[in-house]
Amino acid sequence: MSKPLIIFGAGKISQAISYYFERDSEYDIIAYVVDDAFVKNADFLEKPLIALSEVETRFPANKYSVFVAVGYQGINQLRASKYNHFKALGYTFATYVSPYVKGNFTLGGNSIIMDQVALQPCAKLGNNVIVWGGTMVGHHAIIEDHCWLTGGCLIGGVTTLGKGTFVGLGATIGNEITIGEQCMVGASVLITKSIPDKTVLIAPSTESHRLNSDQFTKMSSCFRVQSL
Amino acid sequence: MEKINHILADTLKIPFERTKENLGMDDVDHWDSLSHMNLIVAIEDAFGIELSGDDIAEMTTFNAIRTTISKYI
Repeated sequence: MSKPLIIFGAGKISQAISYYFERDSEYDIIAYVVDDAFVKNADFLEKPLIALSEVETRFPANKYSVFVAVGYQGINQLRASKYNHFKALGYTFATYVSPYVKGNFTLGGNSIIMDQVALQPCAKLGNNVIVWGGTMVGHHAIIEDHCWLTGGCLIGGVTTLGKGTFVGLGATIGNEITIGEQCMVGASVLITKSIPDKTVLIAPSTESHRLNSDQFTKMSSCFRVQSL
Repeated sequence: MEKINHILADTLKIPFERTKENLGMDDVDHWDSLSHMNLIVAIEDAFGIELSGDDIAEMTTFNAIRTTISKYI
């Protein structure tokens, strides 16, 4: 028998996470919840959309689980505050692990492991951790509460990510490194040394080639159009 | 032209004698899009010119290179 679930959030992140819960979880999404000021429609994804102030009355904590599915605004402070709000109300949090992800790891509440994630043995992931597809978390790594690991990032073995840290697309963090709390690690950043709390690291975007694509095509053996 | 031939030989790693032929990108093993840009930069440095994107795209044979450079100097 499926468990009734309410999801906080009614945006793209909520829609993406809903896909996994609906696809193959033990939960049945009953309704979506947002802050009162954001209730613009009566429903979202064909389910009732209700105000946060009404949630305890309509979907009490003793009958419904919750999943906070919003973005990383405030470097995950928004997600942390909503998680703490529902925790204070006594709700239990849902957790989702893709059935394609196997391994010996631990995972807290309100956390999600999407498809094609590699979790090595003894990795420990806390509460409210979002792990997008393609991420690799090394053995004995510790991912503290409220972290956000974006697709393709690599976390080395025995490395610790402090609470609320954001790791961008394709970033690489070496082994036995300590990343402070609430750091912002941008896409494709490489980290080989520990960094303190609230550090921001951004890799420069690749410079444009001198030639435009029409010009490049003419002199590239790979892209040149061969006469038939 | 001697100056161009030295650049071609050094950048494309071919014997100097072969620079006197009209070889194209498909004839030279090391002449790919990356070495082409190295060649362009070497030419620009040697002659103190800045080639346009369209010219760079057309300079895919030794003769085309010589013709293009002659427009700038």
